Amino acid sequence: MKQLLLKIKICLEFNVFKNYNSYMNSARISYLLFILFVLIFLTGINLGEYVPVLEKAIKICLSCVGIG
Amino acid sequence: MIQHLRRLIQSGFTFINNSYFGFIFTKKIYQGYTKSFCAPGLNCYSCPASILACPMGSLQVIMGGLKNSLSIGKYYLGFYVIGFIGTLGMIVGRFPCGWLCPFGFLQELIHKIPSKKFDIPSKLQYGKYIFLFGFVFILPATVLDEFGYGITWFCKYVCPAGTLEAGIPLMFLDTSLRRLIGILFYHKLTILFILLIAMVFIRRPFCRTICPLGGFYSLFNKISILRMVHHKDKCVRCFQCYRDCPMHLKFPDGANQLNCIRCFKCYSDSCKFGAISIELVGAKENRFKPKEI
Repeated sequence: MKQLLLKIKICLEFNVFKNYNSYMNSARISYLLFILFVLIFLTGINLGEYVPVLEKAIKICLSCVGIG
Repeated sequence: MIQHLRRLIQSGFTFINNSYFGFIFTKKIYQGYTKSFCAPGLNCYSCPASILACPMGSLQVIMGGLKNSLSIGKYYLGFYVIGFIGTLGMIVGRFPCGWLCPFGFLQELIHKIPSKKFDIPSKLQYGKYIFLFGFVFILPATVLDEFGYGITWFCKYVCPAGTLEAGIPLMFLDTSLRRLIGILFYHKLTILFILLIAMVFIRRPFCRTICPLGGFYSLFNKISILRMVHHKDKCVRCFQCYRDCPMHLKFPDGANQLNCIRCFKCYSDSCKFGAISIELVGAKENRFKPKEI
């Protein structure tokens, strides 16, 4: 009985570790993707993509209004 | 407390986003440099009071001009807008929908009108991805006019925020525009009217079924740095969270579902058993921390 309880305990601990590892991997992926999107954003600024955004935003968008 | 703060931020951000009141005198929309920045929520940039650009409108414009920009050696691929909303999404997931979006705020206010409430078929939630990929990316980039430009499909044929925030106010403001009203305007007015009615009976119908920006943010919910956690050992499955959720989600069916807007109502108000928590992924204190053997 004692051995059985010990086995269950080991299994539970193993799962905790397994979950912990996969959790930390997903955390690393999240932070890496975050950095990736910051770099994409900075690339957009470097390419000057804010110019077409501004050019469109300061004019009345007739399509948005429903008459264009 | 959190929900009061959320209301305050929602109304404050709606005001900040639309804080140019000079249009009353100039009869023109705002034309300052702040419009080169994208708003985190859905707010039409043709709204006379808007001081920020709509991310979905901007993305459609860039996609529509893709062919011409590439032909002159300018690689405008949407990095600026995708990078901005992607960074936000990676940090907080769909949080901007629940806290910063003026159109989401409007839907929550209208839903407060007392009436019998209904739910919608869950499959309709995938509609927003059709609008995101079809109307924001594919159609503007592929269906081109004789000059090689695509149109803003979502803005032109669907967006009710554009009709409400830009179309109707501009019709009052500029009498010359009234002469141009045609079938397209009435088509968009009908969509807006149907959605306004639906908002009374259904929780956030636009966010759940149509909004391409919500669809974009939702892709980050499961991988964002800020996440919701469900403690199954403490959950009694009373479904109070489901009754309170503005997106009609059953939290025990899975934390960080695509439609979760991170309003934290389930965490702050609904759950009395400590079965819901919020975490910054990878932070030192977390539920998966292994025990010492």
